[in-house]
Parts: sequence; structure tokens; C-alpha cells
Amino acid sequence: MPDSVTQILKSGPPGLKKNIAVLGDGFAAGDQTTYNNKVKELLLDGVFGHDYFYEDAQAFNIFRVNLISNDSGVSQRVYDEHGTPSDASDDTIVSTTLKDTALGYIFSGSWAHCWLEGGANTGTLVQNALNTWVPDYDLVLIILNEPGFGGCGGGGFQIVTLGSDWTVMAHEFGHGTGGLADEYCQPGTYTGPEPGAVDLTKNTNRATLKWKRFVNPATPIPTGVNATPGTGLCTGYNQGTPPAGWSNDQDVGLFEGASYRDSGIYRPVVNCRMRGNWPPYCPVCYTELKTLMHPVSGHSFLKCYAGDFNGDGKDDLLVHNGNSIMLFRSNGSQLDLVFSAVERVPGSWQFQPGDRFFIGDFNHDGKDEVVVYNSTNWVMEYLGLLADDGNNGLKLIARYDDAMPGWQFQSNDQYYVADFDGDGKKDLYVFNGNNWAIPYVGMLRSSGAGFNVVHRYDANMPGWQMRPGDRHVVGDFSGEGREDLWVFNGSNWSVPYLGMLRSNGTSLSMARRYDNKLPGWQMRANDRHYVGDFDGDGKADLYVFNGDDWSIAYLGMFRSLGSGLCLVERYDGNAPGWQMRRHDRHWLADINGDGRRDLFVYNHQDWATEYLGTMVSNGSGLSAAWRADWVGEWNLGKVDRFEVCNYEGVAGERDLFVHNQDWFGMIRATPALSLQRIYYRWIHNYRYGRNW
Amino acid sequence: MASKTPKRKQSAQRMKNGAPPVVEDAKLRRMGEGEPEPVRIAGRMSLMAEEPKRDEGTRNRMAPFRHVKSPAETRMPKGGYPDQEPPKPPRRKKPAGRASKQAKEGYVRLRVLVQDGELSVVGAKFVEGPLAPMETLHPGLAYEMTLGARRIAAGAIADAGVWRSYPDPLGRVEMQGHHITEVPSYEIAVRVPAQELSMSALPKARITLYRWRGAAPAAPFAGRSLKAQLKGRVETVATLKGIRLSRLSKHAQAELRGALE
Repeated sequence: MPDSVTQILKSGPPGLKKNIAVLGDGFAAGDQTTYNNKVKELLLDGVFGHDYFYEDAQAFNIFRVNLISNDSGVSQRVYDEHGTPSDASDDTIVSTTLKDTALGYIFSGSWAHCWLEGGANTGTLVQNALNTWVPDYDLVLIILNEPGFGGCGGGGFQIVTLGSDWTVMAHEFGHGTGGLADEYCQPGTYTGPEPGAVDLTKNTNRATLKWKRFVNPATPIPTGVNATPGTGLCTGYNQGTPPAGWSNDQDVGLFEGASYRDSGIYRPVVNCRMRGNWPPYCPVCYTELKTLMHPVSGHSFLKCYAGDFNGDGKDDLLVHNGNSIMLFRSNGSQLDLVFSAVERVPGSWQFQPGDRFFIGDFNHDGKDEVVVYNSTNWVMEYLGLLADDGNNGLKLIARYDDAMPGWQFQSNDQYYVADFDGDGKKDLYVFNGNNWAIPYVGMLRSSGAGFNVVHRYDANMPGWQMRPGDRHVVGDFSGEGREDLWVFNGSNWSVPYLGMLRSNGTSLSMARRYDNKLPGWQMRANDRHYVGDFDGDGKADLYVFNGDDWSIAYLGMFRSLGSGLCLVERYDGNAPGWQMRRHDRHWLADINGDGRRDLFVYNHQDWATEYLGTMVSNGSGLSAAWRADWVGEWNLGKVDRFEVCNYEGVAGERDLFVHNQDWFGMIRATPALSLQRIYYRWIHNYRYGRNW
Repeated sequence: MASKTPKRKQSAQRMKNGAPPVVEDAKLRRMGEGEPEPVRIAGRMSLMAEEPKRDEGTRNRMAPFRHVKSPAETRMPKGGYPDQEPPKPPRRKKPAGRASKQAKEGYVRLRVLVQDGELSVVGAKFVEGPLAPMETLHPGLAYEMTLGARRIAAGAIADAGVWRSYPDPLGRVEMQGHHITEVPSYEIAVRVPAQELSMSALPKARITLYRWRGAAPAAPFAGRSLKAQLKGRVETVATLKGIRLSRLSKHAQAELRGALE
């Protein structure tokens, strides 16, 4: 069996990521499964399966190198420690038993000798292996086929035995990745200058404390004082009584003892991973790691999607970045990470920057699933269906490569989520007007475990000649429980057309076509359509806005009669409480939870400042309210993107996720537009303070 | 979100309840003024038929659709689906010497030994692919590589110069925490974009290793030398003035040639 390398975490090119090389020593050909399992246990399930490294896995590549040793197990050395196991200076070698292994490491089990040491050629052998198998590396993990406990780290290297667990390794990665200092305590008083490490200080002044932004004003400073220096103990909270709910690893104060001293130097929390290994990183260490690795991770908030992925009635957040997705669960007022997948999810779907996501309950289980389509990053188009994996994450349950029976995927396929057969499972309409000699519309019915094409329209639908410029929206205008297809074309004909095509579950029929005019409305090329039941009668109605083709902006409200439309209200220039302008953008919502579809409206181009508004329907008219420039701490801007959602889990759909490159906000519209939560660069709920 | 949004021209208005409609373009009509006039498409009137004709063409069409009453259920293959297929890379001509390597996107990873206050190159490797711009620094060691006054590479070194034994799992008092061993020499990795470095430039290249203190800066450094930007907080650990091939081991010479030529 020859030596080999397998990349087990693929985040991106080595020059853009932190690269971890994993080598094994003392693993013969028959031991490779043991080695592979240990790598998985320590790194994928251990370090990268928990808290910080789970979140930022996209900043790292992991290369597992399988080196075949001639002997199984590693060389052994026995020291006579002369009763002083912590002092190596008086130790003598009792025996050395050498084995023929790939890297020549020798295990001693002596703490003062770093538990293990290299043989005569170990340095060269390690370097040769790295040169051969890993193009570039920042951190190196070497696993010895030795059951005893032991581990030695430094200089970006860690050499561990099979008896080691991932928590010490995560602690060591804190040194190697973040330059974090040890927070262990030993007898002695610190007398040096202010330490450079972010998690150490000798400063006891609250006003100038380097981690003051994370300290609650009610927390005493210092928080833990060592009254008996020389004992080697790290202090806990001993300046008063800790408040109820105090967390020893997430509540920040100033605790005496750190960096191998028990006095004169302080750490941020009672027990961070840099002291206790098991707890997650404290806010200070976590923030340092996040700050350093954020550019490497490539994370941003540009591609965000709302969906209730666990069926608790509250919309969660899916964030897509390059080849990763992350799911954040809403508890009604904040978000918490529950799932992070880099490169692929089981099944498998491999994420790419060109993935497009469509959210809906495709299997009628009360939870949202994800349809993902990619037509740009692979040799062919792929469409996948991702569903709950039963563990807060997603897995692929169906995939179609290049085509499905009856539909050949193409780059400009446009998908619309709609339950067109009324079975409670969301289906897909798909339109392609550009890639073929004629346009096509397909009806892709969901079985809950996949899709099949129940009807395809080639060039024409009943009463409608398709053209490349057709634009579609979906909504049940007939009130029959099936979501119908609306189609508008304002550019390919001498007059604009609007068609209302009723679905019977397997096909479409033209219910009504409007040529040039709607009742009380002159159709124009730049009409924009929003379909929603604004009067609560169970039939989807129509809002039409046009800000481009007339001297003033117009907004029309058209009630569905089941097979046609009638004008309920037309606003010329102004709606009550909102002055309409050319660049108004609208999103359907149910802001007051009354079952009638309302509108969010945003304009960042036409006024002296930005306006975000709500337009609430009473069934026959709208009333608007707005915020200018700021919504709480959110400074509205041209880069802002909005996702209508219900993260609160209340009646209706009254919330917004607002996001741009670095910022993410949670806005609720009832009782008035207000910002509930704001995050910068990453989503983390600090117990006190924040990362900016 | 500290800064205010830049405001537009002073004449830009604010929204006001009760104000008259804003006229966006006075040359355009209002809805209802005059009869709508159909536009000509490519010089002629183009109107949709009530019942459009079937398409009878054959070129660039999807395969005919056949309705199936009971379509087969989608079944996941055992073991999951195969990997998605990446596009084939564009065909490349055979590389020809240094010019082609420098033309390739990539960087050179130099292994630099730090010993007794001196730096020496002990190995090099060309790595294909992009290299991230200079990273954010943190307290500890940092290097920069310059050609003349121009910085061509810089980076942070988080953890160097010590070995730490893992804490004793039995928690014996004298073996809590790490046993720290300072090492007399250690290696650092210097990454430099391939197009910035050539064999002829090696004698002019300068690598400096700094140790600095204090909180990490909010943003990556500008183009000036680190020392100039971290006045008083930085000390020079070691400097290599010029990389002279003849002074390197044969192995390092071969690796450097392989990486740069």
C-alpha cells in the first residue's frame, strides 16, 4: 500500500485558507483504518465539530496524509525520573526500543519530555512528507500509534497519541491559530510588562482594561483576587456573589492567575478553553479568533435566505458563502448557529458560489426544505432537494443531473415555488425563455422525496404565446387551494399582456388574459406585480406598481374575482402615509397578522435619505408608516437587502432580515418598525458587549 | 453602523405627509391622458393571438415531452450520488521555463530557519493558486519581505519557538498546564506571490522578523514597513539581507530553483 493524501476538509485554494496537514507515525498498512478513524474523531468530529472551529471551518483545509510504517506502533523510551517527574534535568534513559516507522517518533510518557520526542531523522522525515503531500501548511498534526496519553505542541505542530482527546487539541489550536496565551496557573507572581496576548493583562483599571467591552458594569473589577499567592490556584469569582445565571466561561470579568502565575496577572473568565480545555472559548478569545479568521473564512451576509427549517413556527436563517452554508435558528428574538457545512452535505450536494436556493415545505412536514440549483459552476446543471437531517442540519434527498424526465436543465431556468396541486407540498414552476429556440414552462410536482414533470408547455400555454421577456408570479387567484401562474409581458409585443393561468394540479388553463389594459389601469412595460391576498378572502389579489413609465408613480390594488380582476384602489403619486417614487421597491408581507397581504416598501435612491415603510391593507386600501435613515441602530443604505420573514413566530409575516456585506439585522414591523438585533461580521450572542 | 449614510445633493427632498405627488418626469403623461398607443416591434405591429399556434419546429428544442401517469419515484443511489462534475480546465500549452511559472497564478512558500538571531532559507516550494493579501496581524511574531523599499510579502506567525507538553491527564499538581521548552531554532513560512520574486531578485530581497506587542490593529497594514507603522511597539528579531544561492545548502538551492524557475 503506497503513501497517499486525502483532503478531508475542502474550503478553498491553499493560499486563501489555513491549511492543516495530518500525518501518522507507526501505522502499518493494517492500521490505516484506525488512523483514519482517529483523524475523524479528533478533527472533524472533535475540534471542527464544536463551537468556534465548527463556525469557521470554512477558513481551513485539512489534508490527511496516510504514511505506511513498516512496524505497527512507535518506538518507546523509558526514563528514570528520579522521583521528580516535572523536572527533566536529572532524568536518565533506562531503555529505548526502536521501531521502523515512517517518522521515527519515540514515545516516553514523560511530561517533562513533552511525552514524546523525535528520533535522529524525524525532522527530515516529517519535512519530506510535508513537501511531498501537502502543498502548503500552517498547522501540522502528527498522530502516533501509541495508546498511552501524550501530546506535545508548538510552532504550529502538535504530536499526539491515540490516548489524546480533541479538547486539548482545540486548546493548542488556540495558540497556533489565534496566538492565544495559556491561562493556567502555577505558583509565582507576574512582574513583567503588560502582556501582548489578548487574553492576559496586568491592568486592573476597568476604564482601560483591554477587554472592557465585554465586562458588565455590574461585575466587580477585579472579579477574582488571589488572597494567598503561591498556592498555584486560579481564582474564581470571589469579590462578592456571582449573579444568578453567571457563566464561568462566557461571563467576563478580571480573574487573577494566568500564564503560569497565580498573582499579578489576570485572565478574562474563570475557565476558558485556554485554561480548562473543555469549555468553549471565552468571548475575548472567541472574538480574537473570529477577527483573525474572518477574512480567511470568506464569510459575509450577502446571500441570506429565510425559512422555518425546524418547523417551530419561527423563521430561521440560511447563509450561503462560496462553498458553504450555515443555518442559524431563531428563538423569536435572536439567532444561534445550529449547522455549518463546508463543501458538501451528505447525499451529496457540493456547494458552489453559483448555487441558487429556493425555500419551501416541499414534503408537507411543517418544516421548510431547500431546492438548490446550479447552472454555472459545473460541467452540467444540477438540481438538488435538501431536507432536515434530523440533527438540525440538512442532507440531500434527491438530485437531478443535467435533466429530469421531461425537462432538460439550462443556464437560464427560472424557478418559482408554488403548491400548484394543492396537496400541501410545494411544487415548482420553471420557465426558460432564452436557451432554446422556443420558450418552455414546466410544472414540476413534488412527491416529497423528489420531483417529476407533470406538464410541459412548449412555446405556448393555453391562450398565451410565450416569449423570452415573460415574467411570472404565482398565487392562488381562484381560491381553490392551488397556486396558479400569472404571466406578464411588457416588452416583446406591441401592447403589454397579463395572463392568469389557473392550475388544476396537472395543467394550466387561461382564466383571463388582459391585453393592454387592466380595469382602471393602463399596462406599461415596467409594471411590477405582487400577488397576495390583500383582502383575506382566500383568493390571491394583485398589486401593480409602475414608477418608470408615467410622470408620477402609480400603485394599483386589483381584487381577484376568481377568474378575473377588478380595481379596488389606485394611488396616483401618493398612498396614505407614503409618497411614492420611481425607485420604490416592494415586498409582500402580512404585517399586522390579519390574514391580509400587506407590503414592505423601501426607497434608497429618490430622497435625501433612505426610507423603509410598511403599507398595511384593510382589504380595500393601504395605510403606510415609515422610518427614515435609521431603524434603531441600523443605518439604512443602498447596499441593504431584505428578506421578509417571521422570525418571531407570531401571526402573519411581519419581520425582515436586513443584510449586506458585514451587517445583519432583525427588524420587526409591529407595533412599529424597530430593530430587534444587530450583528456585525458574524452572528454571536455575547452575554454582555459585542464585537464592534 | 456608526457612520451616517452619505447624503445626496442638498436639493434632495424628504418625504412629507400631505405633499402633492412628486413628478418624476414632466415630459411623460399621466395615466388616462390620451389613448394608449401600441408600439411597433421591428417596424411592425405584433399582437398575441387568442389561441397561439402549436410550435412545429424541430431545431434547438427539448426532447418531446411524454406524459407518464405514474412517474417513478426518485430514489437515492446507495451510498449517495457521485461527485458533481467540474468543468474541464482550459487546455494549456506545455510550460516553458521560468516565464511560464511566473505567468501561472501561484506563490512561493519559503521555509526560513530562525537561529541565533539570524535567518536562512532552508527550503522553497511553488504553490499553485491565489494567495490572500496580507493578513491581519496579532501580537507576537510577524515577518515582512521587501525588494528595495517595496514590501512584497508580510504575515503573522502565531506560535513559534516553544514546545509545550500537554497537561497531565491525572491532574498531578506539579504537572498541571504545559511543560514549556524553549527551542534554540525554529522555522517560519514566508509566502510571496510568484510574480514578485525571481532568481535574479533574490540577492536584493530582504526578510525581517519582528516581534511586537499590543492589541491587534483594526485593519491590515498599509504598504509602509511594519516597523514604521508600529513605532515603539516592535523590535527586530532577525534580518536576512539578500538571499545568496551560493550560501544555501544544495537541497535548498535545488528547491529554490524549482520554485522560481
